Amino acid sequence: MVPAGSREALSERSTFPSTGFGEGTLGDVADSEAIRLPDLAVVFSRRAERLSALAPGHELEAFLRLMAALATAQQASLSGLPPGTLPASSEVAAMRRSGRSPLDPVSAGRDATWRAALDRIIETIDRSVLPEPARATVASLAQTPPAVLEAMADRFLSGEVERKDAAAVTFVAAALQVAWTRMAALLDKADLASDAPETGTCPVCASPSVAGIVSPGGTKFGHRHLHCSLCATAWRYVRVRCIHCGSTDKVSFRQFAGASFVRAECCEKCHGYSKVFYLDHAKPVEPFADDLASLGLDMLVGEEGFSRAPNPFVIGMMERSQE
Amino acid sequence: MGITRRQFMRVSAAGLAASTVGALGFGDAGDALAAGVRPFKLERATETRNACPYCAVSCGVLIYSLGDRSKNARSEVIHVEGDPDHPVNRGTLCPRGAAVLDFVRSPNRLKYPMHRKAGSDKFERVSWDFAMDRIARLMKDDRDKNFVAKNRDGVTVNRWVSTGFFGTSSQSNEAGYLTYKLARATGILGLENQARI
Repeated sequence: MVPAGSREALSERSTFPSTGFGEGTLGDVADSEAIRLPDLAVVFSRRAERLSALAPGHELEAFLRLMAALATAQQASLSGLPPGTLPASSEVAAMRRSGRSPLDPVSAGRDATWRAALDRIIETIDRSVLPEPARATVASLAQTPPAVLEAMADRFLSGEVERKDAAAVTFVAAALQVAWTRMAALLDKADLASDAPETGTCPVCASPSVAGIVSPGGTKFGHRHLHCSLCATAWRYVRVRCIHCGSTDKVSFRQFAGASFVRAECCEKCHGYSKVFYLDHAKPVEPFADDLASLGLDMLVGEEGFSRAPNPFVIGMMERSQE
Repeated sequence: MGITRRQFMRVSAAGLAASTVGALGFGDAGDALAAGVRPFKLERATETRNACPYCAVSCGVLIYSLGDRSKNARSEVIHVEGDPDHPVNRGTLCPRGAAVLDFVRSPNRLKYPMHRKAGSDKFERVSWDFAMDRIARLMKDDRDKNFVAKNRDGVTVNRWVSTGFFGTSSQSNEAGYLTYKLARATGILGLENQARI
């Protein structure tokens, strides 16, 4: 039995070296956070850095460079956002206690923060890496009236994007990410504690996860955290368990022969899969960036008949599956 | 057809041109990516939950293996580590448990029943039926010879102390229950297994 208070004393982490996700590499307790909120100071700039590092020589180099420019603009847009609205602390706690997500974009309202973010992104994005159609999209977005933008955001969030919006929705998604990431970062962790069973969707905003990251073993005990595709929150989820249907029965992995830092965790029961990155093998992994850079794996896993929750920047790249 | 962020999607090269990526001006990205991954082969791997076989603490372990278990191909255990999600050990293992991979691969590992005949100097492989019959026969003979129904004072004790029963440290409740019932029903007192703890 651990004496009262000693766990808190042990988990004092400030003096220990840590990686980008706050995994202590020394002297941590055998208990990683159930929910890890995004760090506004680095969340998008880390993503941009990783995307730029992955781009050279990649088959999708130009696309990754655009994504890096977009993430850089997202980071820039975080400063100078107007004050937004957040549910009250007691409301957040009550929703979590009943297993709901306090910032669910479908049920909760949406303030104008994201449109301010969109303006900033359009203003600051490095146009030199944009191909012609993207440049035209940015230009037309700057002229689009707020009501049309709101309708576009609604369609994206509820999951029915129209083909004609395909290019614009990338920037809308980026702006929504900025708004939701800021809201998530401002929540109080204490309110989010819950005994509700773990879910494959974000406990903060109910969005699907973009990828899972397994921390290094050793002193950190190799937990998996899923990373939210909208608000960048990470939450713990049992390993070797399908994130879509919760089954542990017929879960197996697919990986490129010889490369073990990323695997697709495939469930034979619901034919869904999700990516898992192992920090043991590649320290600088960033879930969003690495998901985009490893789309080749998705292609091969897709050929075996498995489907995934889409990355918000490549929706439609995936054909609607039959299931 | 709409495109969505919530539904299950399958990735394909053909879908790329009609996607957000294609719409941004990267229409040829799908074909480039498909060509890029073509030389690679997908490998199948598993991480299987189990309990460490060594002691009664029964730490959870994750057993990593490579290969396709559903086909005839041989799969190979490549790594064993503590199960981080297991409430008992939370990912840790003691030195013996951490070396359990060597146990799995040991050339001395017992994989089937072996029998050394009386007077022989070596073990030979035998069938499970033979081993079961032989064990049952020896247990019965020993019990018939050494079973104690009453002690010196005439009190009924029904005990059989010349044979002991050793279960495993990683038994489930059900297996522990059966082990206990079998041993106690025959009068065995020397019983050791997970259910004792």
